[in-house]
Amino acid sequence: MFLKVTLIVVVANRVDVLLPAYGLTSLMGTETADYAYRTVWSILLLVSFVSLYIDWRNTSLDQPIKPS
Amino acid sequence: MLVERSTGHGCFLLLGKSGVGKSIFALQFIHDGLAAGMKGVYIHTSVPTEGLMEQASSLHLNLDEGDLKERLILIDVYASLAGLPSTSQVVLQQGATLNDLSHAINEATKNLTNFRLVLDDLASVVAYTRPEVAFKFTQVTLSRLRAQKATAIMILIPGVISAEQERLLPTVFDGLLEMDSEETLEGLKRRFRVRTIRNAKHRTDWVQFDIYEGGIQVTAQAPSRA
Repeated sequence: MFLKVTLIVVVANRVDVLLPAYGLTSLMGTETADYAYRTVWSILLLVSFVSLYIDWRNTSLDQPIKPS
Repeated sequence: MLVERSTGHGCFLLLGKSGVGKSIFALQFIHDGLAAGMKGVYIHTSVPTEGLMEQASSLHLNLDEGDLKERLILIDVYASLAGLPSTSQVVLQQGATLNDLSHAINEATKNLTNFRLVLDDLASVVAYTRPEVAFKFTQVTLSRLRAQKATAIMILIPGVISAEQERLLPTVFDGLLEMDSEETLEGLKRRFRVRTIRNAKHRTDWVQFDIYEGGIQVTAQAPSRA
């Protein structure tokens, strides 16, 4: 769970590097690239929160207090 | 004495090594609540019901007398771990799960508000589960207790559960209380402090205490260790 969130946040943080690296800044123009960067960031963060919630909901308390 | 301003209820984690007086503190906490007319729930995991009552009686905290007995609900997890019969009102069966304990707490505290609860101790309940399961159990239990305006103390001996559990679990509590002891030339010195309490003004210095008939009594402000 924490690994997943860390990965998502790391990727989201590096979007500003990835976009120019693939020539997207010059292709789209700085303003559009900035908009794309913010959009991707927001989507990734949303995905991470939804993923966290799903993990939490799927965590079952049906575990024995003492193993047999 | 240590807390100047607080909401009056909340869920606290009491940390301290074995033998420092955590269970006595918890028994006194329940006893004082019962004596004040509140309901009390004591979840015991490491002693049988009789042992718990004997310990309370030896401190003159008689939980099985008159009105106090009527207001006290005992949830026995020890019996399920040891495979023994029990005289507590609520007894978990052998092989019980965290879900069963969660339901038992829910049933025992149904329709109750402004009561006191003790889990003695949290490590015995979550020691064999994954950190996220322990976290969810604690989170769900404390959420319900907060909604019921309960004051709860859960005991934890540091070092018994995994480091990840120990890092995660304190974050869901409203406050951390610590007990410690050290051997001196004059004998064993016990001390207590409030480490954190959310939304409350409190002192953080250690106070020295001793165990007498009637429970724990603060004897002096403890000098800070170098």
